[in-house]
Amino acid sequence: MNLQMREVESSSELNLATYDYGFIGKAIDDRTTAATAFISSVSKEALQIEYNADDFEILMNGETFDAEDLSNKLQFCEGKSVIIESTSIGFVEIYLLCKAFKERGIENFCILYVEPSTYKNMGRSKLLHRRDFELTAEFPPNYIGIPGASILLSDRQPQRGVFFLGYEQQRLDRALEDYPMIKPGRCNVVFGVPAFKPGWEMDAFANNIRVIRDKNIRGGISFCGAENPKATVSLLQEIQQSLQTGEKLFIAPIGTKPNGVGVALFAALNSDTGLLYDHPVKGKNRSSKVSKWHLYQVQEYK
Amino acid sequence: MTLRNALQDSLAKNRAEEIGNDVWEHFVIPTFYDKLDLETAKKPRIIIGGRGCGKTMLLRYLSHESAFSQKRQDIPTNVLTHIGLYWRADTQFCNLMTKRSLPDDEWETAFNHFSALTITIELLRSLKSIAVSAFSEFAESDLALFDFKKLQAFDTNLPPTYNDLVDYFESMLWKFVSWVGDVKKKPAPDFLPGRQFVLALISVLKKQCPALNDAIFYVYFDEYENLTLYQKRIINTWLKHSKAPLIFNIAMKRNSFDTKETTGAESLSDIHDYRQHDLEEYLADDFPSFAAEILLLELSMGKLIDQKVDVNLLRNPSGLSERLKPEYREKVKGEAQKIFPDVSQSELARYVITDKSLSEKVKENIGKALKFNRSTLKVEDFYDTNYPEASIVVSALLYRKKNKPDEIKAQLDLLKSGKANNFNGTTAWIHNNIIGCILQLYAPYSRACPFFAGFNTFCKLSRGNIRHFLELCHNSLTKAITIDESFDIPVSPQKQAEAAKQASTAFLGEIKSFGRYGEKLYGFVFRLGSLFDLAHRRLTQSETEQSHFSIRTGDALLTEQDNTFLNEAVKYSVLFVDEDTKKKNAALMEAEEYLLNPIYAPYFHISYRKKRKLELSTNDVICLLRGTMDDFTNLMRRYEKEWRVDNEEQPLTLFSFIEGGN
Repeated sequence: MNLQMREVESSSELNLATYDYGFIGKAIDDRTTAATAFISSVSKEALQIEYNADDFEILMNGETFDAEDLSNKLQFCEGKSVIIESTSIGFVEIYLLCKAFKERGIENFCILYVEPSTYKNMGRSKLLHRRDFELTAEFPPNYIGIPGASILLSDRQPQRGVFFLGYEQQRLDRALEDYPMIKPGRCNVVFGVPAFKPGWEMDAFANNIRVIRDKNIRGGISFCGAENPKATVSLLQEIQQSLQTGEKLFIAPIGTKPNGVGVALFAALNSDTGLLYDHPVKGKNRSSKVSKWHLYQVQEYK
Repeated sequence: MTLRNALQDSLAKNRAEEIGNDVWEHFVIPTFYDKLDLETAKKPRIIIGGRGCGKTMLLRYLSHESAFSQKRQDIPTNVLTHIGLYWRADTQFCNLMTKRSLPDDEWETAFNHFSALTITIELLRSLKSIAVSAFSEFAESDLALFDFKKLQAFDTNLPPTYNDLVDYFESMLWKFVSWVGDVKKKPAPDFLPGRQFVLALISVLKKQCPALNDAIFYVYFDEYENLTLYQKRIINTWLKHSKAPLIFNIAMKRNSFDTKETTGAESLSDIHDYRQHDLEEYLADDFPSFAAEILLLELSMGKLIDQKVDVNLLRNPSGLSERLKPEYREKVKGEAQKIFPDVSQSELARYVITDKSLSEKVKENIGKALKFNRSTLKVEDFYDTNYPEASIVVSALLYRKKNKPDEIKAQLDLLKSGKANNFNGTTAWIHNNIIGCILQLYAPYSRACPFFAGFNTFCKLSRGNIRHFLELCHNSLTKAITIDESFDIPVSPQKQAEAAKQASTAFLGEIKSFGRYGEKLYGFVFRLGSLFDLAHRRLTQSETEQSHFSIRTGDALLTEQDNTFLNEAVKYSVLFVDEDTKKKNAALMEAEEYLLNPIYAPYFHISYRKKRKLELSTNDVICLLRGTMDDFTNLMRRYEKEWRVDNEEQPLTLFSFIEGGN
């Protein structure tokens, strides 16, 4: 796999040719509104895609089907140019699209990501921590596996975990609380550094440090550019090579979306990798305004 | 290793999962152990308990890795009548075993197969645990003698020898995991009939090894509440059909036993099919001495503090009769109190009077209250360092309409002359108001109040939660480490109180990870805690120490979702429902009393004691549960006015979390 990355200040600087198909999600704030509108304008056909974690189903342009059938449904993409709008699309959808592209032999495609200007702080006056960001409205009652990336967490099987971290420390806390079979000694945590904006990394450090300390996570701390899926893939390849005999790898992409894009690209190519994901329901207007635009060009994806 | 690290190793490893599968060394036989009736009862057990009450620790103790721990020197001969197999399902994986265009009956068969694989692997492992343990009647060489050919009736590829069978089942499990991940593209494995297969395996074992003749295997299924409905029905079915040599037991949080259906026509019925054991209810009887024993055991094992404790007595079920003696209980509690001395009410008052800023505050409050009454009496008429408790409660009394300053002064004079008075007589002004007044004095300074110090206080703050208790002790002892790497024992009340605030802050932060509504529960606790804090700041202290509430009918009705949310708060022990007024009817909201988990009290600077109840209307509760920020601000303003709160003082600052040591 080859990954080219471009970063520009506005969509007009991307100078994109027209794509045959663009995959978009729902617009819930300024940047997803801008991103989906842009993809719709540069695609002959924009396909809205949404994954339902409770039913393991995909809703694509009004049609509902099993997530495992996505590859069959995307036959029309063969030989066409495609782009995924990853700001509005959830992590699981990106993973399933990458997996379907791999299965259909679609080796070249693009992924767009738009940075926010600011994230929404919690509106709870002085009673709450100043680093709390109201990003997630609700989580499902339990973690739910993802078709194609199943892992049986067990204290009987040696397992290595990699957690990409963002602002919401409760996502890491909950994973380790709900899955005591995860061995903190074999868990890496990855922070998005450099962050989108200088100083934002401090929020991620401050919010997660208690959990890292309390849960005694000691498998290593890594840093990987918050907007850099290429570095994410490289880091995962390194960790994969360092696995002990019989050790299985699972990844929890609960950090930035570009890190999630890297995880999706990696996991779809490595079928023995498990994904641990909590399927948050994103809050409306979780961020405001639009910052930089990123285009990731994926080539030779096999 | 530094003392801090050694302490971390001993007390911070306060979850069963952090200790590992063999918990034998760390397990203090709980005083309710005999109630579990492990020796004779062959009925399944349902173990109920909230987070941190020691559920998983108990299950791990009952399982083979602890029962046949290599650390145990002597193992009783009848031990094979109880071989525990611990199983905690991975819920994200179990959740994947639904829908996806596969018929329900195929998933049921698949889950039965998964159960057979998991239990078989655990059962085979238990044989290894027995073989390598000090138990003399079954040796490692016996494992090689087994011939499992007979099981090939289920699967012709099953290898006949023990080691190969273990490998084969592990490989089958991973093949199954792979199939579950891709049910449409990978061929389904040949499914084993769950219970039938496990029983056949046990039968082979018993026939070939006389030592195992009386063996009974007990499966302990942890976190049952996280299974899907059909999976619960299957487990319920195993439970219903439990009889020697294979008995199923389940453990879950409160409010989680949501279906008693089985896969057949008959549902589970209490008493007939199982015995229920509520660990928190059992622990409530004798938590302080049990907590003291655990603390002393961990300190003794870590060689941290030389406390007199007989570790063998704690680890041996036969030691229970000795440990249940009142004099023994008092002794262990006394040992814990030597480390964390309790602070009496009069000592708390003396701390206030001898502290420059707090004593000034007492005088200032009296002055303000006299001004409010337009009284010509002076502060000195009420403030007397020889009577710290009376001096502290005076200002609250002065604000009350029914008390005139002259009358209060007259009562104070009676107290000073040793005559009957309202301060310590039946009216009990001191007893009723002192804690509320002391908390009010400390609040504006964001300073930890020694009211939160002491072994007995730690037990009350923990309310049966061993994990919370040990964290309070751990934080306190960390603060007591001296520069020359020893402990400053007894730990000063101020350090204990600071540690309690620190622990409270940390546990508050954990709420966000409590299930689906974690984020909302977190917000709700902040709102409720802030309201109780406001109630504590009443000038009159007329309703002192309000830290629990009931719900009376207002204009609005609580929705089903609101009730679900309250149930979730109880499930995660954020709230406790009072035992005497347990909910009997969903419509009778007024009958319930909800107590905020006392572990959050130090953060909000409120009392952990259940004293006065705050009656909230359904409208107020809805505001706490799902009102907007503006709604909540209005509610606080309304109560601030109604309760005559001194709004010049704000106890929570913008960075309260940081100050709390987060």
